[in-house]
Amino acid sequence: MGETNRPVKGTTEELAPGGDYSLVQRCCGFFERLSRSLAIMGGILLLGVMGMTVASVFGRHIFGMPIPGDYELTELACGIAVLAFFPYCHATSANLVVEFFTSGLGTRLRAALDGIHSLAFTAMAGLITWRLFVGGMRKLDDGETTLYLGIPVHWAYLLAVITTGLLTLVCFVVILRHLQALRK
Amino acid sequence: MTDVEFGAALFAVCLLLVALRMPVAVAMFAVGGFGFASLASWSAFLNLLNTAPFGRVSSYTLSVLPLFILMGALATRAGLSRKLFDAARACVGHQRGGLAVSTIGGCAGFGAICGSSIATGATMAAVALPEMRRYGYSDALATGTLAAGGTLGILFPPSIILVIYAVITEQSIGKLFLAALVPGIIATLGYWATIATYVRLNPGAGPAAPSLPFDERIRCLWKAWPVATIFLAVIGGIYLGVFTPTEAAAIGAAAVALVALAGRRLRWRDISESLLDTAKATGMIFLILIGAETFNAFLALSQIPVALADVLGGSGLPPMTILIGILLVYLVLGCVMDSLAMILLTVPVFFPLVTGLDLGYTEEEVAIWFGVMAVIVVEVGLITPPIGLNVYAINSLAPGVSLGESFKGTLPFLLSGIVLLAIILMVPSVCLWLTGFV
Repeated sequence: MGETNRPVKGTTEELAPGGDYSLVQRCCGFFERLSRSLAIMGGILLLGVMGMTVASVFGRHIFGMPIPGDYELTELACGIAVLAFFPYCHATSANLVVEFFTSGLGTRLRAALDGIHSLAFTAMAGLITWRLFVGGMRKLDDGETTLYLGIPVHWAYLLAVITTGLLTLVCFVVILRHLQALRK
Repeated sequence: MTDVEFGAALFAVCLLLVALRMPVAVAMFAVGGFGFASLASWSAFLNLLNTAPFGRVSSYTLSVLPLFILMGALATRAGLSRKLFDAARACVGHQRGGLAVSTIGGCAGFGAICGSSIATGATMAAVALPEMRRYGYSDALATGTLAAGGTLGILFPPSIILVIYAVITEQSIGKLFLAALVPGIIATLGYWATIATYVRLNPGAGPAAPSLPFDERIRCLWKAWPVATIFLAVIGGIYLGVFTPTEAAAIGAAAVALVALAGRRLRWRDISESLLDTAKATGMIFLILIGAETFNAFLALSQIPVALADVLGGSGLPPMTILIGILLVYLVLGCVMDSLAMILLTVPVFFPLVTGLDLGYTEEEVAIWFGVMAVIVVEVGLITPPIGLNVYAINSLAPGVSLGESFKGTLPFLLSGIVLLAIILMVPSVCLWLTGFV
């Protein structure tokens, strides 16, 4: 708790400054820091939603005037914040796995299993990114906007594609890490 | 092969993948996607993906989750657990077993502003474990109490599991929160009774701590008022219809942040850590929700839930027997599976069956009653061997204590949890009477 030193706990072994590191390691470190920054931005967005909602509730009950379109702002902002959390969540291995039947397996076998799962994860992230892009393009063609404020929905999809795109890149970083673990 | 057989086979594949350590989100997504595409078509699956993932993360009902998680994360970093423990300790700390009783009290209080079980237990452990060890509590009692106390985090509203249950079964979050309130109080009382019995049988396990002077006690009790106020405002506001659960979560999070800032316990570093904690927990849950969305679309196509409801519902078995059977299945699954995965995998299958049973209540009442029981079963699963995630989490925070010792200390609380389940099963009005006022 309370540890903020980079790189994030539980990721690639700490790179001491000035050392000689491979391009791969530098790349991994870069994407991990990027996903951490993105998660912080998502968190700040969430704090924004929090403040906006409090203001809207008080506005509604005291001045009889809520913030216009507060529900759709909450929806969109929370959605983007959640998507911004995905890369960090994967980079810190915070995803839910059931560790019961496999705890007795050897480390190599487990690393191999994890490698396969990481490939599946990459496929899922890539597929979602591709379809979000297609979906966003359709929203652009349809000109769909939110009901009350008229915010074009494809903007949210564009941001979503950026976050899931980074998630896909982080997936490759995780695969590289598994490969390193297998070689050891 | 009929659709139902195909569906059942894929369901088994999904369980196998989860058992092989595949992330739950990926297993549900992959199996659900394959099943959906086989039963409908690949283009239908791709079209589903155009909008479903974004729709899932940007829904107003679900935005309650990140906000409640943020509230819990802020409360954890702000040291509110210490205030709650001190307040409870001021009342009963000088009794035999009093520190354990205070731990349960603190957990109940913290559970009222935090929706996660492991977070509640781990936060309270940081405060209560050193105290209990200093006064010579046995390792079994100390770690067992904390593991069990943590489960109050998901029983007392806000509760992440209840929100997810509410969303997948389209029930009112507010009503489910209110329904879980009385069972939460009964669970707390049950845990207290368990500790009292435990220290009576093993007097050495929980010796009395020294008594505090009277004015010190009042001062400690006074420190708990912000938490009590926040809880009452959040739940009272939902109850009276002043605001939606999402708004309640935002107000709660803002209030916890204010309390923390006023106590000068929150610097930027703590805030950024809270945000990162929130990111991890929220990302994990929503990724599974996206997987579950695909999986449920496939389940619905395969007609498994309907077929199961037809077969069991038309079997002539008494409805109560079927309900008890389902709860037993949950208890067994809970021994090896994580709570979130269990709820998301099984509720879509069992829910149509349960609400179709003639139990003498309206469909909504049955839905709420079943939701509360599902959460209690999940809670029991968190402390049952061999996979009691809470026990693991607390044990990892108590160096030098063996896992077996921790499970031994948790066992009496397990009994208490099962008694609670039996009470709710026999007397549904325990959870339903409060919802009648909304």
